[in-house]
Amino acid sequence: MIQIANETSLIDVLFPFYFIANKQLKIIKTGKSLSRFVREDSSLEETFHLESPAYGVEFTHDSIASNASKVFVLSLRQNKNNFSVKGQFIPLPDEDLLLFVASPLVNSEEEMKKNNLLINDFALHDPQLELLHQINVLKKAQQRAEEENFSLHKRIEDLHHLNQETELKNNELRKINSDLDNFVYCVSHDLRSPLLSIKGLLALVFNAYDLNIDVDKYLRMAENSINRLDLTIQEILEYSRNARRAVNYEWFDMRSLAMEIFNELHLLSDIPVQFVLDMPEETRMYSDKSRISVLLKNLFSNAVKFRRTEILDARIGFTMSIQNNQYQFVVSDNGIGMQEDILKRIFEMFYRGSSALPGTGLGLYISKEVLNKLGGDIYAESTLGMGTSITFTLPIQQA
Amino acid sequence: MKHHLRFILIDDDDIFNFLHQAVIKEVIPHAEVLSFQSSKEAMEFVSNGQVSETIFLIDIRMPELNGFELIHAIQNLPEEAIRGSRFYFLTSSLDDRDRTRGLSFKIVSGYLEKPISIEKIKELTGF
Repeated sequence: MIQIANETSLIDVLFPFYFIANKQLKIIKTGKSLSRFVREDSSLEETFHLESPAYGVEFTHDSIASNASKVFVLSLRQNKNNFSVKGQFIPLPDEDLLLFVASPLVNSEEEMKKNNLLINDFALHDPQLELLHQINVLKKAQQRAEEENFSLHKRIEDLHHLNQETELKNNELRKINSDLDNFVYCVSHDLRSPLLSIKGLLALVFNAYDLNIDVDKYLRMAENSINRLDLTIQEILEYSRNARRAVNYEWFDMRSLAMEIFNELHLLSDIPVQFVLDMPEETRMYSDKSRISVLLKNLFSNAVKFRRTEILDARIGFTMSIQNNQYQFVVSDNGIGMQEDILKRIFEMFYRGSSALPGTGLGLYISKEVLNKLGGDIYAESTLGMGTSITFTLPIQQA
Repeated sequence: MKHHLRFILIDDDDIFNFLHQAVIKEVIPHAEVLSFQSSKEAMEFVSNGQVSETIFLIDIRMPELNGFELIHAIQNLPEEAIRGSRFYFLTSSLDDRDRTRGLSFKIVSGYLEKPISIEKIKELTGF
């Protein structure tokens, strides 16, 4: 056995992390790889901490020798990287020496690097090397899988996004479709209705010739229906013109435009309604004059139409002011007003609040669309039996 | 044969009410014809009074209550309030969905197209 202790070069090749301790447990010889971590002549107990076996072994020669059949794990005490070796003690009885043949416990390239270990430090037969290699292969495979997983996730996310977009577009289209459907339904009804009444009146007229009665009355009714049909067509055109035509800004005087529109209405209807203007000094503004005309015509004619016929001082007020950096206009009347449930629907397309007075249900809808186009807003307040006021705003445009 | 001599016309377009009344009178000069421009007022009338043995001609597209809402409300009245009455939709709608929906009400006897003709009134009343 002494020969073995002396043939350290052979042991070095087989177990480069070996050491030999004497009876006093002093490390008297270290392998070439372990020598970088352990000085010769240092005490075994001061150098190593006994990780395993966890109990039953003491730092004496006899205790270790009698446990020679066990696997030992020793970790370096003064090493922050937890460097440890795993192996077995072989007692060399002739000299009371203990030979410890071991391999370092490292499970990854990182641990190798931390401890400055190279492949060359290991014996060629060391299974730890093979283990490290397998771990490396597995790690790389895992990394690749993770990368693929990530890109797959990203692709799924992209698809999900795309799906959501498509769904939004789909919903938009569905809404446009259903709006269009509703539009066609309402328009065909509203165009057809007066035609059918004319048709019916004509049938009466043909009958009436025999009996020689009120033909004149039937014809006047037919004329009314024709006017209604014409109004419906005009309003549909106005709606489409607003939707289609580009905004055309020009300078105009709001006061004279309002007067002009009110007078036209007034002349047409010959109804005693007072028009009260409350305007600032400067009423010239830069906006789309023809759209504003459509808007005022709708609002003023509503105020006239829904006046209280039983009062003598029917009135329409029109005010202009600048609030929060934009124009604010209010068209108010002391007319019949309306209930809350009607009020909240008056800007809907084809909505008519009352059957008592004729209408297409388009005027306020178009007004709202006009203001949408011009970047303004519109809202209404009303008290049943007291009157209604419509407020609309317009941005102040620079010429 | 028992003839219906009372009609109630409900249409927001007064010209149609006038026209349909004239057609009815052509056929049955002594018929009693009530017309309502407001579906709400018509509903009030129906729920307050006895309207048995009456032919109702009801428009569909109206402000306030539309024809479907009106029929729905009438259907919920006690049966004796409308005993022997018949209900027809009379409309200018060409929409299939309106026809299907109109005929799905169990108290509705038919779906007629405007303007109503003398022949149709004769057919409905047996005059």
